[in-house]
Amino acid sequence: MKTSRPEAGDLLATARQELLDTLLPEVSGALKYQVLMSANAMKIAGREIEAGVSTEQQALDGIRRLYAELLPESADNANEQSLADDIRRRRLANDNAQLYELLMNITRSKLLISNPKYLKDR
Amino acid sequence: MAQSGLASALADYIAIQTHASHVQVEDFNRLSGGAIQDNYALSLLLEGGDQPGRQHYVVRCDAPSGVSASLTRPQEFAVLKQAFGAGVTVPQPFWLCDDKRVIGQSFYVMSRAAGTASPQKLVGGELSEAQGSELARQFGRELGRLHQIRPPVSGLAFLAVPAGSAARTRIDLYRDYLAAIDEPHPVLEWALNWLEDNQPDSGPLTLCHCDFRTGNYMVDQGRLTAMLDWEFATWSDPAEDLGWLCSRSWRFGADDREVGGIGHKSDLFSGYEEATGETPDPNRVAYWEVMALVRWAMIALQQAGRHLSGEQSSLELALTGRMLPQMEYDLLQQISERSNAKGTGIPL
Repeated sequence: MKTSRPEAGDLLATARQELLDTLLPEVSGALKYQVLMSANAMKIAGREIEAGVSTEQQALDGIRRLYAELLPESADNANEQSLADDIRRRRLANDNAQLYELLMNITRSKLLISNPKYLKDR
Repeated sequence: MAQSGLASALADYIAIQTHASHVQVEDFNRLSGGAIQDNYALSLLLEGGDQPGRQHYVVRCDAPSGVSASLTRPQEFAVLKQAFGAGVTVPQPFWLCDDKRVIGQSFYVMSRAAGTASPQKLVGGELSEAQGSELARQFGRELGRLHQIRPPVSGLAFLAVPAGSAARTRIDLYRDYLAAIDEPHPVLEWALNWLEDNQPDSGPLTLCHCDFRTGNYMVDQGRLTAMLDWEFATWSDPAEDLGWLCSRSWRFGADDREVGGIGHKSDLFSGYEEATGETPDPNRVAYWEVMALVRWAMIALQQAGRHLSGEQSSLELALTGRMLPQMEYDLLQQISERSNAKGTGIPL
């Protein structure tokens, strides 16, 4: 059980709310933009804390499944780096539908942290 | 140099250039939005000489840390003069000062264009439907005029003519860049493969602005008054400029107006045809829209890199790094759409 409470995500969310509720109404022009950028950064950091390691683990699981099927001899050490390398070296065919699906899933999970609204807008 | 010292040094310099008998600084302030260079608005009251009366200038200086990929001020001045000479709507270039004793760095002076460059104002409702449509047409005419400038041009010898096609040159550059950074970007590798496999026929090279997008031009009462920020100009495929302008990244929320959030491709292309007699090939432009997403991703990586390395700690640069998945998502969607259109299916 954690003894340092409130936890990081709670602190971030509370600080962000403070920024928006009390500081934002007091500033204008370029400073307003700075406050909104800060609030956005805190929101992203908060989502990342909430997602924890699960997003990265999901991506890694997806990569391993793809390798098990397409490049089984390299499946043991497969990760995002080997995926990038094997795409560049054309060991994985660019028009492979499973590869496309994996890349889309990884990108969607990154967007869910950095900018979930972008997914809705498209 | 302190702000007031800078203003009077520049005023004295301009008085000498115009042979004015007296000069008074009326207004001087730093303009926002230059990561690579410092821009100043300078209003002077000149007596006598070639430009008597109240004059409004912009002074563009090298910033201490230049980005290696961009032009120096003297080079940019040379490009601006060519564009001005070809009838492109740009600020009138007046004087280049490469003597660093004047203000401590190279600078040049140009006329100040009226209006706003703000994407929020331009895309967010300041323009009527008809104005947006006419503006997109004007973009086409301006780019068409610019693209009449073809190598070799004396005075632009510093611009390297690509050995292969413009697309090939870009792909090689971005691959090198990805290889040099210590983190994996599988979507960008995948997109670069697609760009390599789908290169358009190698066509003529023309002078290209290479950063003509909403935010980099001024508009006054619905009319374009100046194309700005020429530091990335180079010889390239003219469709690169059209693709960059139409990229999804520069529509500022107005996705249905594919030309910079302002107007439609049919307007852009017909303006282009008016100036050149040639209709742009939509497939070629779409290819360069994909390239534009990759390029913007590369720029975002570079900007994030400046923050991460400690060279320039900045929230804005840091957040730009987190925009990368947006470009990646658009790349996945657009390439899939292009492939489906050609029947070489990458299913969605």
